[in-house]
Amino acid sequence: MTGIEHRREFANYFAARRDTVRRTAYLLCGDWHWADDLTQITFVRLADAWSRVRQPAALDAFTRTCLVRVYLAESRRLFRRRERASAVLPEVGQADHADRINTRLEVIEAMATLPPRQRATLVCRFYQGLSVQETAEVLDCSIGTIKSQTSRGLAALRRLLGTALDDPSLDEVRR
Amino acid sequence: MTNLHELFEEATTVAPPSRLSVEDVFAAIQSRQRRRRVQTVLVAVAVVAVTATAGIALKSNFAAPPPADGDRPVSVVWAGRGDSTHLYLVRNTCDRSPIAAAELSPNVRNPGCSELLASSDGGATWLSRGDVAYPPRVLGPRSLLQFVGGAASPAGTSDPWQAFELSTDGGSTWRRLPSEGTPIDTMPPGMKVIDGFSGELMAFDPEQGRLRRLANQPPLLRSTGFPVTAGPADIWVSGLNPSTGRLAVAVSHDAGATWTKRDMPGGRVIPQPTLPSDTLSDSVGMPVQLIAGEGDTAYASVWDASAKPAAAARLAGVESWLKTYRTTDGGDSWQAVADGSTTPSYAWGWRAANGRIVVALIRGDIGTYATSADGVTYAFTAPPGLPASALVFTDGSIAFGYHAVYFSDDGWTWREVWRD
Repeated sequence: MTGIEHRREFANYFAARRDTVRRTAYLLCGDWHWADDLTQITFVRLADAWSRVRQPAALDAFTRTCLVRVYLAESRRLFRRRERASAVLPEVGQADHADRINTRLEVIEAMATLPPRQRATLVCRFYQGLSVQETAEVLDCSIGTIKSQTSRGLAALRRLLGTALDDPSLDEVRR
Repeated sequence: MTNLHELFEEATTVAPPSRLSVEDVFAAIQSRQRRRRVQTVLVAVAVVAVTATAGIALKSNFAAPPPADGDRPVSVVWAGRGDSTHLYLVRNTCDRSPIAAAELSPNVRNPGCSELLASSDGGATWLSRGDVAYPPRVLGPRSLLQFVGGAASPAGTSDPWQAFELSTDGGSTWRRLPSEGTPIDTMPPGMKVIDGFSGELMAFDPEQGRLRRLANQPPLLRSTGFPVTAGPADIWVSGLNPSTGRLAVAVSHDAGATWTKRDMPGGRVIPQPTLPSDTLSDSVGMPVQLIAGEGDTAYASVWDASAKPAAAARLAGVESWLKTYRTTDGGDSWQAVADGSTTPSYAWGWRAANGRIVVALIRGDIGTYATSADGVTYAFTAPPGLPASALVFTDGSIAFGYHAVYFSDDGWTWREVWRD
């Protein structure tokens, strides 16, 4: 990246989008430290392409695609399994928060049981709100693959989360 | 009744504060550009050298730096050392991630994707030993142990089955071990303590070829890491104290008969994982890394929420939340060995034969090394021959990156012994 103006634009975009990218990364990988790494790598790649992608809408899509592909590439790498550490502090305290805390942990644990591409598919579809077509472009695969990954991922989550994920609207999405 | 979007939103509600700043990103970009320039120059030098020496083949380990990894499948998934001549590695032979399969079925055979290679001449030549479980344990120069299992018994029942297989010829042939005998109270002399794939310590009798479970297990939830022995009767292990949720070290000074555990200093508390077995999940990893010292002295790095990356580490482009501690009383008490300005944080560490402590700091795809003569003051210097592409250390003698394996006889001087 060269030029003061480019750096300023990039810094503004980083400030506006860092937390969103980081939260998406966390849903993908289930670990806040790793999410920070994924976020940094994503923004480094974005910086490389900064002069080519200037439309705000295109920037978001580019960043999203970068993040998902960085995650899929990183998830292949062996040492991640060995050096990951949990950043999550145990949340003890108010009983009326217990259900929410449990749900939060259950969702992350349930997602962790899915293969990386299924995880990425569900995050794109149900967190980012992308269509099947858009998700297929992000993951660089066919629409049919996205549908089957979605179906399998949802089925697995239903098994693991039970009634916490009992929403008929999901059946609509699957069709 | 909740839809998935709400569940995802809920799951990310409580985010710990991020240390990632745009300055970090700019620094990473500069570092990446520097690496690219260096690679370009080295490749150009290699090309010139090849041209100039027309017909003289350069050995690969003295030629260009490792190729950029990109999305290329990982080649090396494990490496181990029997002795200075017997080396082993497991190669990924599938055009897909070995990690995805391993996450779904850890320690279960992954047919056709994990090929064991063995060298009996210090890495000069390698022979395929066929498909193996991932990863085996090295018990001796030619002795390997692997864990096998499946969803249904070979006898036709529907019960899951599991067993250990032993090879005493460097992985050429394997035989199923008999079921474990009676647990033993202490490690007899001559037996080797190993991590038995399920987070439990086991004793291997090389003469009888039998595994025995240690009756008194260390009172910790453990990752499937490696026990550290500091002496004939000393066993040091790390893990999670289930009663406090804190990272802890357990030490036995009587060959495993009794254990004392101490919570490590630092603020990190890890929620107890919900697992069918009493082990730490792979997602927790090995939160305490131990370096055996001499006698009652040992070092440990601990994931510590309150620890800020050392200034020197930040200068080297490394950011971590590990903190280094030392005990000089056999594990009864631990002290941070120095303040943040000189203490490196590290992912793997070992004591070299020359007495220096070497620590490897891994950030992304780059390894940085710090060494210390006194265990307190560290300098950022790489041991000779140890490249930045070495990312995983089995111990102080074997390391591997995505596509290469490195070996050291003394923990200080390294050489590449295999490359994809």
